[in-house]
Amino acid sequence: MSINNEEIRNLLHFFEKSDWQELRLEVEGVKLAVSKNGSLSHVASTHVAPAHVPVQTGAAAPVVTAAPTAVKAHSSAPHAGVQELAPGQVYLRAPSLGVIWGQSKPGAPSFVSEGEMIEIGTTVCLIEVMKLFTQVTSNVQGRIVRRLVADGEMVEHDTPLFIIEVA
Amino acid sequence: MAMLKRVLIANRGEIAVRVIDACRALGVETVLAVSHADRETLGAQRADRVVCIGPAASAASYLNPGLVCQAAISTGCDGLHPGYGFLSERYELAKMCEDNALKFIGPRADTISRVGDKLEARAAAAAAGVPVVPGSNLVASAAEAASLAGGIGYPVMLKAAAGGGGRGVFVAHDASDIEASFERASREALAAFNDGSLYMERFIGNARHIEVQVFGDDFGNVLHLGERDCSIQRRYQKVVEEGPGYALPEGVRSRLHEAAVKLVKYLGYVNAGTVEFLYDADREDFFFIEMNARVQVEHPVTELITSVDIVQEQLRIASGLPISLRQEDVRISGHAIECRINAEQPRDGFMPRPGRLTRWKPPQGPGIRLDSHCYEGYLVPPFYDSMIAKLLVHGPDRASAVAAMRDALDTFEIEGIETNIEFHRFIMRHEDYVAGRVNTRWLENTLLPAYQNT
Repeated sequence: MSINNEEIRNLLHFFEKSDWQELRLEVEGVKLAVSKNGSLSHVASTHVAPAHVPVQTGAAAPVVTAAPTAVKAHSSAPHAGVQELAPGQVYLRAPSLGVIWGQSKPGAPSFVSEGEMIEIGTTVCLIEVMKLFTQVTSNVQGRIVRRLVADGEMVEHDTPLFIIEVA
Repeated sequence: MAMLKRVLIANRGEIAVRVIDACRALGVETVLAVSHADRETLGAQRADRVVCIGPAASAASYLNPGLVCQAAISTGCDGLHPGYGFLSERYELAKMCEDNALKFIGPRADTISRVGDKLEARAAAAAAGVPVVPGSNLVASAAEAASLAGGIGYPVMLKAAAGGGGRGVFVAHDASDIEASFERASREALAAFNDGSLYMERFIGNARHIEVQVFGDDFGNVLHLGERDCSIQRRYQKVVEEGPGYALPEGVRSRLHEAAVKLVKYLGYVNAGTVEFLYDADREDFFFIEMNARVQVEHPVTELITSVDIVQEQLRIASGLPISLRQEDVRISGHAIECRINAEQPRDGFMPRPGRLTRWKPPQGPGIRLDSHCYEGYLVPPFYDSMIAKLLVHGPDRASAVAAMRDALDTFEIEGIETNIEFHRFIMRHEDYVAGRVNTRWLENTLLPAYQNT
C-alpha cells in the first residue's frame, strides 16, 4: 500500500476540519505526523525513506515532502539549505532545475516573506530556465517558515525552496 | 585552440558513461544532467558533478532543451554533448547553445536542420552527386505510373504521399501489374489518409543497410572511417551491427566511401556523422537514405576495427582542433560485431522488462568490449528505452568474431530481469547469419518465425 499526494492533501484537509489534535500515518515509504498544538506526544522514528509526493497544480508545481523525513543528500550536489523539518512542516520543492527569483523583477516586492500565510496556488517565487520565467505556486496552505534559496541561485529538480508549516 | 574545459552531458545510460570516459581521457571536466530517476546511475557516480534537471519523465527532463542548456551555463560548462536520441538532433538545442556561447558537440544548428528534413537531405545528396533511390514526384494516373515505371526500374513501390508505417504501399513487379497496383494503392491511401495521391520509388527487395562513419572539422578536413552493416533490424530498429560491410565488392565499397565524403564536403559538415545507404545486393548498387547528425549507438564497431576513439575525436573537433588523423592513416583491421542487449522479452512481443539486476556478470576477455551503465543491484527504470548494454567482440575475421560473440553471449550472466540475450544466441547460430545471407527483412521474415518455433 502507498499513498499519493491527493490522498495526503485530502487527509490534511480532513484533519484540519476535525477536532483531532494529532494525526499519525505510516504507510509504505511515507511517515506523516501532524499536530495542531505544535508538539507531538511522541516523535516518530528517525529514519524514513525519502518519500516525495509530486503534486500537479499548474505549470510549475512544486513538490511536497511529508514530515518528518530525511532528505537524502547527494554527495556530488548537496541541496542548499536543507534542514530538519519540525513536525507539521513540509518543503516546497523546485519543479525542475532553474534559477530562483523571489520577485517579479529587480526592485519589486517579494512574492512572499517569512512568516506570511499562503494559500494553495499562491505564487512563491519564479524559476528561470533559459530566460523563460515560470511561476512556482504553493500546493499547500500554511505559513512560510523559511526561504531556503537566495535570489539568482541555481537549484536542481526537487531542491527544497521553502519550509511551510501546514495550516 | 585549446580543449574544452568542462562539458555537460545531456543524456543517460551507457552513452553518458561513454562520453564521461572520453572527456576524462582528454582532461575535460564533466557535469552530468540527470532526471530524478537517474541519480544513482553509473554515469552519475563517475561524473565530476551531477545536476538533477527534472522528474523521471523525459519530456520534463532529457527532452527539454532549456533545462539542459541552463544546467550547462549555471555549472560553468563551455561545451555540451547531446549523446544520441533525446535532443541530439534537435535544431533548437544546437541553436540555443550557439546563441549562448556554449559549444554544441555535434554539427552546426543549420546543418542539423538541413539533414533532419528528409526531402532536403535527399535534395542535398542528389546535388552532391550521391545516388538516391530512383523515384518520381506525385503520379496522377495509372497511365502516368506505367510510363514512369520503366525509367525508375521494376519492381517499383507505389506509396501514399500522405502515408507512413508501410500502409498504402504496393509493389508492382512489372508492367502487367502496375495498373492494378496503382488502383489498390490509391484506394487504400484514400481510405487510410483521406488523400489518394501517390508517388513511386524503386523497390529494393534484397537490401542491406550500410552506413559510413564520417567526420568533418573547422578546417575543411573530411575523413571516413569505413562502413558498418546494420541489416539485422526489427521494425527499423537495429539489433546487430557489424563492420566492415562484409558483403560489399571492393569497387562498391570505395564508391560508397567517396559518396559519403562528397556529401560531407557539400554540406560543409563539421563533427561526427553517419551517412546511411541502402545497398541493393542484386544490382550491386547503393542509394542514400539519410544522414545522422550525431554519434551513433553502434559507433564502437568502427572504433574496434580502426582503433580511433570517435567520441574523443568529437571533443577535439568541437574544441576547434583539426581531426587527429589523415585518411591515409586509417586502417581497417579484422571484424567487429555488436549485439544490443535489451531488457525485453522477445517471446512476449519484445515487451520491456525493467527491474532490479540481482546478478550482473558480463563476459570478459581479449577482444570483448562492453559499453554499459549497469551494475549488480542497479534498477533498470521503466521510463526510458530498454537497452542495458552493447556487447561487442573483435576478431581477425568475421567467422572468428561470430564464434567469439557466441562465447561472450553464453557467458553473460544476468539475473533479476529478462533480456534478449537468448535471442542474440539464436541469431549468432542461424545458418543464414553465419553465411551472411541476410537483408533488412531477414530478421522479421525468416529468423523470427524460426525463433518462435523453438
